Amino acid sequence: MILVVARHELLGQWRSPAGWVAAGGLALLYAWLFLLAVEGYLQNPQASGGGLTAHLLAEYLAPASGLLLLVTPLFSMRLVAGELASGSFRLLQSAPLSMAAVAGGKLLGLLALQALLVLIALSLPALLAVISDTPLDWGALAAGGLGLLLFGGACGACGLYFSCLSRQPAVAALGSLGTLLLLWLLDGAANAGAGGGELLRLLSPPAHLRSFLRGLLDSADIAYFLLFIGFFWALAARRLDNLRLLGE
Amino acid sequence: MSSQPEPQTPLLRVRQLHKRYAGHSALQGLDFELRGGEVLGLLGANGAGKTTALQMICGALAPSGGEIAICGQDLRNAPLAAKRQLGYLPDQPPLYPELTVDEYLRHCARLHRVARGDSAAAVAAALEDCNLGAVRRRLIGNLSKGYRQRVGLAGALVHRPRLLVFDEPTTGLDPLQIGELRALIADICGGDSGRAAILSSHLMQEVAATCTRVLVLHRGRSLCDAPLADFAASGWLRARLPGAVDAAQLAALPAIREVRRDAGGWRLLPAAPGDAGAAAVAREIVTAGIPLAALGAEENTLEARFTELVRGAEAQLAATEATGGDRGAAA
Repeated sequence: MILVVARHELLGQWRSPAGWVAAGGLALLYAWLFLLAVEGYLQNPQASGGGLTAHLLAEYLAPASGLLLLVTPLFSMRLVAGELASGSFRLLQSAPLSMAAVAGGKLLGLLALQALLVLIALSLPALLAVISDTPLDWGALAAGGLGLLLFGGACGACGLYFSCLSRQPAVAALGSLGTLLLLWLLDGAANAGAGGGELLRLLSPPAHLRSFLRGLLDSADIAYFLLFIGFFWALAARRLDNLRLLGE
Repeated sequence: MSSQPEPQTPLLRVRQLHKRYAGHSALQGLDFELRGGEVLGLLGANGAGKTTALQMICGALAPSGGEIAICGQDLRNAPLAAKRQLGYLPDQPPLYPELTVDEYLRHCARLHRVARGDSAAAVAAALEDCNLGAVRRRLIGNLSKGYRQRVGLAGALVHRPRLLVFDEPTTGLDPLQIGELRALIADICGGDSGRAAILSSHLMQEVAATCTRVLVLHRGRSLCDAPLADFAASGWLRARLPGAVDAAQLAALPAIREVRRDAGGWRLLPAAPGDAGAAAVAREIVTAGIPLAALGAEENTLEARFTELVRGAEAQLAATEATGGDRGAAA
């Protein structure tokens, strides 16, 4: 049943112009970032000290994660808020499936979309490798891609929860964007030497993305993202169940 | 699909259903059962608790107390099994305007656990039931309101549920569309279909045209639950008495319990029920020397019965409050 909801969500993103515009805009920005990163490498190949792959991870995938953080609330805002506003949520409430399955399906659909966006991001280095016969460390790039997917999933889970809190998609988008930016700033504050720096770093998703962007797979960071996603999924399922008590 | 319930098991059993919001009771002790072939009309003024009751039956709203069982499955303890036998059409159909009719019905079928191999046949049957074949490839957002209502109905029917729940299904439709939808509901839930339906409305003619049973709700309480035919006979007699007649003289006759006069003439309530009571009234009027031109059973309308019930409940409530106030003042 989760897959039925997930499939509907994934296809639903492509049924409106908004999904195509957001994905197209993101692809253009990826291309621009990629061009800047390659140009930077050509001008000074020794700058990152680890070859083209390390340069692309630091100068292309790291900023791409920032873009993902900004664009994910646009994809997640309608997940539940749109259905509450249009009344179509009644269909899910009267269907034989639990609210945990509804939240899980919506999250899974969004994760599938994020996977597509990560594939678009990784397709540019692949294109470069094919066209110019440039050797790249695909293991490191895959680790970066997985990090991007987990980071996007975390942003999506947070967006899903905020989408359950309001009937207005714009409010849901602003709420999740504000929270994600706050979590992003925690990392900056930790780097700037703020009190409790280690704790702030532990809480901040970008800090856990860093190891992936060095081409490493750290199980602690993977666990962090899975817990982050699971935490917001549970909050969303709880909130959807509570809608029955409130009569919304 | 899930197993069929025993024939004697009601398709819907509601026991002592309560819903309380902060300091306000929206529903108080609702009790009823629904069996195959029945179409129950939930009748009440705005705010009577109709939508609250239907939302609780569909699992969209948690009750504060009481039990709901659909085909013998308790909605609290086995919600998924109970909802498999349920089709729900809210006042605003739960549609996705960006989908075609076909895509929407396929999605509904999958959500209601119709096996992948059976879903094409289920969708085709729902399209045929609701006469949607001509628009099956059109976007729902481009359809007229009447067609959208039909699509909502097809979505509620696609998994062949035993219990159908309609909340104000004809709101916003034109008279032609209303007639078509009523015929459709009657056809789908007809006597030997094995299905039952519950339908809420504040329109008397809608309930009279579609339902076999009526439950009148007022301020969250059930005032009356009876077959539609019982609403037709009020028990009053309508008399035509030419000339000046004294109401007190009529009321003094032992065969008459109550006398009222309205624009249509005299209304007499016999002391004894049935034909014997009516015959006694006629005899005593003639014996008393009062000219009697015509006497017959009053043809009641659902509207008159509903108004009578609601006014009676309001009067009872006012009397209870006055008694409480007097006691409070005395204390």
